Amino acid sequence: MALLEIRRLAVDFTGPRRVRAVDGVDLDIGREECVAIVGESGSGKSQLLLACVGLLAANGRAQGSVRFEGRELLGAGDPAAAVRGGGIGFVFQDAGGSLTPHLRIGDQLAEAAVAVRGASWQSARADAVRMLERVQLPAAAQQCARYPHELSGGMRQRVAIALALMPRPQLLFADEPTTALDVTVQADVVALLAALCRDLGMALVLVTHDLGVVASLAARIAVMYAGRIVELADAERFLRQPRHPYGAGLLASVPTLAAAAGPMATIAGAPPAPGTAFAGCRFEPRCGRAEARCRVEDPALVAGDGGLVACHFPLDAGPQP
Amino acid sequence: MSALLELRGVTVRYRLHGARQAPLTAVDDVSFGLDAGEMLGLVGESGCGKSTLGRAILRLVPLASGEIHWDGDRVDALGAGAFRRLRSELQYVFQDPNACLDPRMTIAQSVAEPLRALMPALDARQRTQRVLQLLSEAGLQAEFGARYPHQLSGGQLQRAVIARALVPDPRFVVFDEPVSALDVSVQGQIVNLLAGIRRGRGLAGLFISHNLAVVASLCERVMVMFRGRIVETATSAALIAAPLHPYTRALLDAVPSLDPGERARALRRRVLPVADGTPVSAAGCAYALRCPLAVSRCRTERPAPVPAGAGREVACHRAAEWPAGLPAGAPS
Amino acid sequence: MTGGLWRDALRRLAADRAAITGLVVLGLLTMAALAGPLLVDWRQDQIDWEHMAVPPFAVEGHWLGTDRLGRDLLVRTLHGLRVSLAIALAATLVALVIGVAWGALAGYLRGRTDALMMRFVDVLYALPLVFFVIILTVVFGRGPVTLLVAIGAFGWLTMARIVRGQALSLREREFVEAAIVGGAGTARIVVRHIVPNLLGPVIVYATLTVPQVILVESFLSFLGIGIQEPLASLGNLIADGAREMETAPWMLAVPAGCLVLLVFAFNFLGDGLRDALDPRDR
Repeated sequence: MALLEIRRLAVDFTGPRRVRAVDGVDLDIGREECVAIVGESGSGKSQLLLACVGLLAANGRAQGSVRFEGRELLGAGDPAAAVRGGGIGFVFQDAGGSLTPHLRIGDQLAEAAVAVRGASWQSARADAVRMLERVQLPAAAQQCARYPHELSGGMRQRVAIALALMPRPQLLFADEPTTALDVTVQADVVALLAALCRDLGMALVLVTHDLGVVASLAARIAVMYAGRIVELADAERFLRQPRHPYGAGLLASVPTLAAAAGPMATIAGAPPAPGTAFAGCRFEPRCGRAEARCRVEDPALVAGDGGLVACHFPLDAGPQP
Repeated sequence: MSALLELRGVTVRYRLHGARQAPLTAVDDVSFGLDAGEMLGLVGESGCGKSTLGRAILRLVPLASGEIHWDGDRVDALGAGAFRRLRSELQYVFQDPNACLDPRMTIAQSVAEPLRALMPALDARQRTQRVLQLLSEAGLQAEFGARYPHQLSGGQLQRAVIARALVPDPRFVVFDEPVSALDVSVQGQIVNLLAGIRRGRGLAGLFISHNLAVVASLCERVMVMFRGRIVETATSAALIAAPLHPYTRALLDAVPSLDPGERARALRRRVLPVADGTPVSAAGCAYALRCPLAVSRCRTERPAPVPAGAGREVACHRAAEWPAGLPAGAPS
Repeated sequence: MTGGLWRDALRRLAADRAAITGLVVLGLLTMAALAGPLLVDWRQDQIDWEHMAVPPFAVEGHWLGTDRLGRDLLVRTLHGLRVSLAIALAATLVALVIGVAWGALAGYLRGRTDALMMRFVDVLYALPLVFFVIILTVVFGRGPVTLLVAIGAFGWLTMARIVRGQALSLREREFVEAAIVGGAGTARIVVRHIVPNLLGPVIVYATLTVPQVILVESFLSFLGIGIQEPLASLGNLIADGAREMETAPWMLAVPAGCLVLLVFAFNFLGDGLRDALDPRDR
């Protein structure tokens, strides 16, 4: 049994218009597995995570099923509350925002352990120092007495990660954990997350728009577009040979030094606005390979060649090594 | 003096809250020249002062010291009225297209606004015509003119912002991270649009970005900035092939590689503790604290930019020790 | 071309049931205040010697009862509503005009100008309102106009502070810098970019100011330096009613109910306007 099983998950937002942000997603996360969900703004990737832990905005509603160790997390009465912080940790994009400004960071970390695990304050404080050391914060013991605003962005993100890890979750959700950081610090945080997963035996779901971040970290990659998963594959396979035209386009658009000088690769058009209605394939208006069938028939996510792809005319898998 | 724009010892300081604190030096003694039609890259991480430098050129922040020469004339000492006449030649494209268009104005109104002040000779019909012409140059259909900013996607907004910057026919534009707020698939569209516009108009510019790969696709020459100082200037090709400053090396290493073969290397990468933000002595090299190659001299003596052949400049005491550039991977 | 935004705002307002209810109630109250006294047989200072302190619906002709002196409560409440509404709206308008102009300019110009302008506001804040009103009354005599000048002179202070705060943050927004780069001068930036974008909080605060002014007016009237008998205002009617609360509760209930209705209507309308004027449709 997978650690987290997501089945037919749909997320709707009510308002002047009804917007479906996530539209029928199936995804399994195994124990100690690192899965990346990549997609552009509005693809529904963040809402997918938030729905799993019951943190959708007030006008959002999730349907379908999310099971963590067999326990259903969706439904009336916020059943996900039991796993928030405990079984599933969450690291947000804005590290500063997830730390309370007027509390010393040592107290914030200790509080998490006291609240979730019922540890004593004394042992929780010692735990906090150990966790800060684990996330490679220099002079961890002294940092405990500092306030969040006294730290740099990279240090704050490390503290936020430590905070999420205090209750020793089995699964960590990280929503764009590096986007707000400087380029030179991003790689460090990614390497840190990889090391933590390995050492703590923890599964990780990483949501990002930056394939560069994913490339060095994830075992599997799920590509989301307009609320759906359009490709799901082993990271190695995907980076070598993406099969969905959108996945391939996304990969080609990442600016790399090898391709520097000369025009950059792009995907024509723009991601669909939230609430757009679709008849056929959602990527069809931007797709260079689209044919008549794509306009009328919605492609299902089907297995093939070491992964899943939702495309009538997937790119060639190429010769297998 | 052939340079179109020349900065000499430009320094910008911000007064911090609490008057007792020493002012923060955001841009520290920066000098460079830029020829007509040249697109110069400026890279560095957030907070290094690269946006402040761009703003200082357009006089959105005051200089603490230094001179700015435009087209042979010194312009930093001009009065506000005299400088306003220059605004049609110098324009600015802001980072966040969502924030730099007035939410209560249509796209056409926003694009037309500089015309009212900078090209007062045009009548209403000519203004409309000019707006439509610029929207189309930026790749936006005329119908977008009647819409409001919240009705456009990020890429479309950035096109509108570019159209507004170009509407008074400038000769120099500061592009302040014009793609970093955009989706990856759209970034390339905007970079390629800028490359086309630049070729078509012979436009000069300062292209600010934190991503060296993006800068390299648009600029022949790049400056690397760290904590307010220019640490290295070189052609894009030379900078990528043989970086001389350790910070340039770190920036290059930070550009993601999608090669699956390099995954293993990246994962094994030693996790470096972050610098704890202790200020370096003003006398020393700003990068000394993070630099794996720093020696005691770096902490006490500030390196000046020195020529390093073929139009290159580097501000590092030890650069002469690796004339062929620093190799990839964390140096020890 | 700005017509599009206003039309959108009106459409959003029309879809907001609470705001429309507030608007309708306000309209009815205003109409009643203007036309109502003409339809009632009694004048506000006319005494009915036969019926003193009768409760509502007890006597034909006095639908909401009478007070201790036998004056018709309905006509007095309508007159009070008229006076209170007029003073409140006028004072709010004064606060709006002076406060927005003062605050927007201070916030946009920043620095020394801002400091000077806001210190002036602080000095006025420090003056006790009652003392100021007494001086004005001594100089100009008692009456609605004196009251209006006094409340208006103080009402704009808070508005100026709110607007200045908004203007300071708008000043930092990139679209203002973009306008500077586009060669726009101070006047154009304040009028075209700053003021339209701070309308939301201004309108909400204005709708909160109206009931506040009514309360201040009633407080001053209660102290005897506001609207004086036999003229009625909601304030002095409530003050009178409060004295008779145990023996003739309707004397309090009628004007107080009217005030509550007024305050609710303004608040609902204010919330609706704020949402409707936000150009992003959420």
